[in-house]
Amino acid sequence: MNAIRKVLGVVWILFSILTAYYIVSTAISEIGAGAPADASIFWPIIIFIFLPILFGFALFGYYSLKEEYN
Amino acid sequence: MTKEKQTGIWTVITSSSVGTLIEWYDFYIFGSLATILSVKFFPQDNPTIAFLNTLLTFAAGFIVRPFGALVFGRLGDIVGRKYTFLVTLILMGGSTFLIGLIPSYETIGYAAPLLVLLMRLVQGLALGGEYGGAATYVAEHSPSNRRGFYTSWIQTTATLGLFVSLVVILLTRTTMGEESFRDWGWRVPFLLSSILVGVSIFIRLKMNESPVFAKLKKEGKTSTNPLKESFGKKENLKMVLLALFGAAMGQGVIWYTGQFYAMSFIQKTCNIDHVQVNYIIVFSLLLGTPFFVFFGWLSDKIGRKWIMLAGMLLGVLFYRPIYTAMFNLADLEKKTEVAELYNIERELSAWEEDPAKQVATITTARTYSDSTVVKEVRRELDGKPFGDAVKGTILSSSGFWGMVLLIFVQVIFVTMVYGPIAAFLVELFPTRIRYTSMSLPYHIGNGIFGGLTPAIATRFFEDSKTAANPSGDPLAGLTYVIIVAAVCFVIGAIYLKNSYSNE
Repeated sequence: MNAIRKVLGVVWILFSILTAYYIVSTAISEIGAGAPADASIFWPIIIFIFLPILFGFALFGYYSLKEEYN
Repeated sequence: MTKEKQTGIWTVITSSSVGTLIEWYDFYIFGSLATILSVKFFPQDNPTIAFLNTLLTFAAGFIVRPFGALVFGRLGDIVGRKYTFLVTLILMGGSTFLIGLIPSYETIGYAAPLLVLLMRLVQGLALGGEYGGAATYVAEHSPSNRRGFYTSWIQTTATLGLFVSLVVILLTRTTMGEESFRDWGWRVPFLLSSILVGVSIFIRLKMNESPVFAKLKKEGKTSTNPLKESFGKKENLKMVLLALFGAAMGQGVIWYTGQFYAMSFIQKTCNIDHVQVNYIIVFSLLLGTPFFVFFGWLSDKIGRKWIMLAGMLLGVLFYRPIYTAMFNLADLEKKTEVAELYNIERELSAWEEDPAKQVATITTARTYSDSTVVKEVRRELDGKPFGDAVKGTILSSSGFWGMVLLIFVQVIFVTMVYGPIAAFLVELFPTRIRYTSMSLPYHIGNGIFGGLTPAIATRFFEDSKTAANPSGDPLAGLTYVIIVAAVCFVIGAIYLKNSYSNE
């Protein structure tokens, strides 16, 4: 189980990075393309809320990789 | 446990639960009235955007909950549990009452949605401080082998708060009639909050401080900086992260899907009549609520972990089939209309003598072979449309109970993830920083991952509309819920210990 936790640590870090990239790139492309008013409210809120959470998720992955949860 | 102590614990549970229930009631009347509030407080150029803005304002209350958890959690760990959740109760009651007094967009323009947003933020902050305090307070009065059972009573309050909000709305609506309710009656449930909060403050003032915290304080062992201790020390921070990603975030999405998203889905996607929607949810919640206590009790016997994770897994596996069945129950394309029963009624407003000023109400009713009725009510003034038409499907008796059953099953998933979680979170952290440490992951999980479910799911649904499929995929919103619950299940299964109690 400890080996699985260690491997999953890498998975959680990659998952955080990819999700953060997806959120930011989608927000930029939608707002840049002159999306309707609701998109320019929706995406900044999503970025403001989820980027710190994704940072926390990456940190969780880092602790897992460093065997803090063994 | 002696009989005297048992009486004491029930007083503690009752006084804590009543206040928490009222706070949830205050918080949820906004969501239950989202459709009407979107008309009252937002410009109506585009009704979909107005509804999305209402959902985002509703979500704003959830977004600030973690900040409330930090502010009041810190206060609760320094000053004490009792006074902190008295403050949160006053803030919640005051802001809810004021929402009921805000003039509409038609009267004060953009000041209306801004004021609503401000009051919603205060509500969110207050709730962020309330729940952790109540759960900690009850847990610190409970013996360790009964902690799951006793704290599960606090867990019923969120659902009961939603239940009471729906009952109050239903009663107000049916007492004053649909037109008056849409006009001004929607304010009554907000204003009523001041009375409920007053009663709760009176009860809470008589409570004593948590004995465990009081002892800690007497010995001078309380934390001087709970925030630094909770999140600045790796040993505790890693448990906060585990509580969030291995339990709270999955719990949040399951909770909101089973209750709020289900309600929004049958209202907006299935187009069920508003009053029938409220009855469906009320019955489902009423039948499901005892299971919070059951699963809390069971968690004292077999541990918290697998009950919570089983609830998440069942959601991941069964949400799509359940929502497909819900959609099919109301799908008019699968029903046959009985042409002979088509009915149209035209009624003129009796109070206006001048025929040119009389408003005609035209009610069209289409009946289908399974007794489902689709009613459309529109108004005309001088032969031209006057106001928006209201259209809703009234399910047959079998359709109604079928829908109740499908939502009841989702409420069972909710009770599995939510019933044991207060005990689980309390046991994860030491007394001196418990209020702060458990409140933050709970409110990020429940408030943000869960509270944003309707807004994000509506967004997924809107994005699924393409030129080839202009009506979109009605189940697209579930993608978000299923991904979050599945990730949380995997983390919980691999990283969590199956806790019973922690002396």
